[in-house]
Amino acid sequence: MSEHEYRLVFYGDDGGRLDEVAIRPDWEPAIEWARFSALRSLRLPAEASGERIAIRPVWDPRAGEPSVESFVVEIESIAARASSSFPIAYFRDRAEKEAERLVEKKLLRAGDPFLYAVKALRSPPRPIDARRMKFRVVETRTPFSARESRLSSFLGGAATAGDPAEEDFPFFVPGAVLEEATALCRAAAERGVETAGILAGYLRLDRSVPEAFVEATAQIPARHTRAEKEKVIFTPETWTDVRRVLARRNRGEIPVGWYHSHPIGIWGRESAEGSEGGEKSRARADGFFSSQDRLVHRAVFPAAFHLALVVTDPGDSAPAISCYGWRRGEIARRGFHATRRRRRGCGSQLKNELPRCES
Amino acid sequence: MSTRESTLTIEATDVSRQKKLSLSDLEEEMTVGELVENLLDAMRMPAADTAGRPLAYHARLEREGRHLHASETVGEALESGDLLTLLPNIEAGSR
Repeated sequence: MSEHEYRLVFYGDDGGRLDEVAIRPDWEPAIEWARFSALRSLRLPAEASGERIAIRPVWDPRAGEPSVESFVVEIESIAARASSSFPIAYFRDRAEKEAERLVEKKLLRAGDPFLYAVKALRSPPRPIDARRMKFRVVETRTPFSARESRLSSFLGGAATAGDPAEEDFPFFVPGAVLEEATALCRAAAERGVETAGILAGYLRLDRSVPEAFVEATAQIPARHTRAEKEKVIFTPETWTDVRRVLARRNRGEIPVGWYHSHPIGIWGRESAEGSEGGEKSRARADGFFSSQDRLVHRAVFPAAFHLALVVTDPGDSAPAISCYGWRRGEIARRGFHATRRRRRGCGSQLKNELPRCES
Repeated sequence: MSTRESTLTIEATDVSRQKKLSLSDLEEEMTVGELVENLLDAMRMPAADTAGRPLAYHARLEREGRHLHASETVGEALESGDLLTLLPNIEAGSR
């Protein structure tokens, strides 16, 4: 996949070199984005078979090799080829994690700004260590199975919310689903805990544009979780239950994302005993996606079309909803469309039970 | 003691079902715990939480509708054609 070893080079705010570390980049989000970008623009066929993926550094035009300006993911299938480029900001999260080690090594003080650069060194192919290979693996991808639809029919009457960006694919959520999720989050906050759920729906494709888009059709409350004031823990049974609910709905829906609550109104009550909770509330009242949230999204919702909603509840006023999703391999705050469209059939799931559907 | 490779061919997937691996030549004495560890690497899934602690993943055997125990062996638990789903224990929150 990549013929290079990547390294991060750290500099202080004064430009002085601090340290250099070798890293094993998490290429998966970039590969997912590259593939999805190609599929949504019809540059690659939907059938995923026999793909070859290569990751190539683009050298900095001034410093030259091995300094990296950006990198490209190339996907080659039997029928076609496509590529996407990514800036070195892709390595930002990793750089921030490595910077924590610089603080431990006393090369940096906590909170000090730093700069980083990326190097890519050609590395010889590693011989396969047969003792490490526990089994033979062939990876297959679920084919890009999108329902053919007209994007214009969804846009009509939809209200745009959040932070839209041009390269984001459209995401449609019925207002009723948002209301249900918000109500469940508010009810949980009144019990003093966070809550969460899964968004079910469809991936759609309008070949006339071309564009792919996501339609959420229902929210499925996450059961078998452990809910606390500042976190909600998904267990293996949570995911099994969601699959069971989707199977019973029998509408061909897939998980298109998830939602959870940030009941900052509860966090804010701590300010009576100490300032930390109050400060946290003020800074985050407009919504945020924490490191833990990002890990859930990476581990459970890794497809480029997966989305997340956060219901931020200050307690004394209406909750606000922010939306997050993959953009060029990073998780970014993004926009969405609230629709009045309601699929025939499924109704409220306010009582954390299987949906009651009108036939 | 030599390990015996089986003729088992199974599939593994993640919660999203967007990724699937086909596995063959599995060692029968390999435990489910070892299998999961290797699968995380092969599927390029995160193995640690934000504090660097290992994430716990369970392997659900779809044929039996149960989560396998880490101490079970491949030879004991699996049959050719089985599908395993890796399910994480993972938290979302304020940090």
